[in-house]
Amino acid sequence: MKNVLAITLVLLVSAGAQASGIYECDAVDRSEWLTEERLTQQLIESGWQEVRRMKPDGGCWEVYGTTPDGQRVEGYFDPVTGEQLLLAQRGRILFRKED
Amino acid sequence: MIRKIVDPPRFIWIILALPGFRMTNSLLSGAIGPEGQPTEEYLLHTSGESAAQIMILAMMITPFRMMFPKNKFWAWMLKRRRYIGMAAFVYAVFHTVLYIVDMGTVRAMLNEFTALGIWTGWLAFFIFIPLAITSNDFSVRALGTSWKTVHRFVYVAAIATLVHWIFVHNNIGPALARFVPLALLEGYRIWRTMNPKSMAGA
Repeated sequence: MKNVLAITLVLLVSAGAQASGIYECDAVDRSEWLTEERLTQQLIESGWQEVRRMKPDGGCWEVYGTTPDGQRVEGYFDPVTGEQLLLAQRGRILFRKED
Repeated sequence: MIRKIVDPPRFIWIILALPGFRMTNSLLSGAIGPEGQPTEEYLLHTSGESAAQIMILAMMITPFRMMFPKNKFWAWMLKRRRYIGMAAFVYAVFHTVLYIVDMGTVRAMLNEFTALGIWTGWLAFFIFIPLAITSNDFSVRALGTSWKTVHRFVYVAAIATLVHWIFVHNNIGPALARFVPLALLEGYRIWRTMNPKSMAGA
C-alpha cells in the first residue's frame, strides 16, 4: 500500500512539473521591460482578440488572453522583445520556442 | 447548550454557505483578484476551489471515523455528509455557470474541450449530477446496495478534479495541498480494510 501511495505521489508531482508551463527568461532589469501597454498593443496588432491581464513570471511577461484563433491561453513573452516563447491552453502546450 | 445551536440543519447550512456569502459580496462589490483578475475570473477560481474543498471534506469523514471511532465531531459530521456533498455540487454548478459565461460561446468551449485541464473538469461535473440527484432517502431505499456503487464514482470525480485543478492552473502546489491529505486518509482506510486485526488495540 505504501508503495502504491509513493508511486502515485511521484506520478502526480512529475505530471505537475511538466504542466507547470513555467518558462525561464534571462534576468533583465525591469527598466528595460516592455510596458504592459506596449505589449498589449503589440499583441492586439498581431491579431489577439483580448489581452486580459499580465504578470511577471520566471523573468518573462505572462499574459492571459485570447489568441487570433479564439483560444483562451496563457502565454510567456520575452519581456524586452515581446517575442512569443510559450503558449498554453488550459495546460495543453500549443507552442514552445526551442532554444 | 452548544448542541442546541449546532445540531439543527440550518447551522451546517450556514457554515457551508459562507464561501457563497463571500462570493456574493465579491460579485456585488466587483472585487478584483489578488493577481488583478477581473471579478468573474476571480469568482470562477474561488467557486471551483470551494467545490473541491467541500467535496474533499465530505470524503474525509469516513476515514476519520475509522481513525477516531469515538470522536463526537466526526460522528456529528457523518450525519451531515449529505448536506456537505450537496454544497460541493452547488458550488460546482456555480463554477460551471461562471465558466460558460466567461467563455461566452459554445465554439470557444468546444475548442478547448479536449485540453486535459478542461475535459477532466466536465467529467467531474457530470459525475456529480447523478450523485446529487440520488442524495436523498428515497434514492437510498430505491437503489439498495447499488447506491454505494453509484456513489463510489466520487473517487473518479476526485481524481478528475485534481487533474483539472493542476492543468487549468499550470500549477501543482495549491491542488496537491488539498488532495494529499485526502490521499493519505484514503490510503489509511484501504490499509485498515486490508488489515482489520492490526488496529485492535487502538
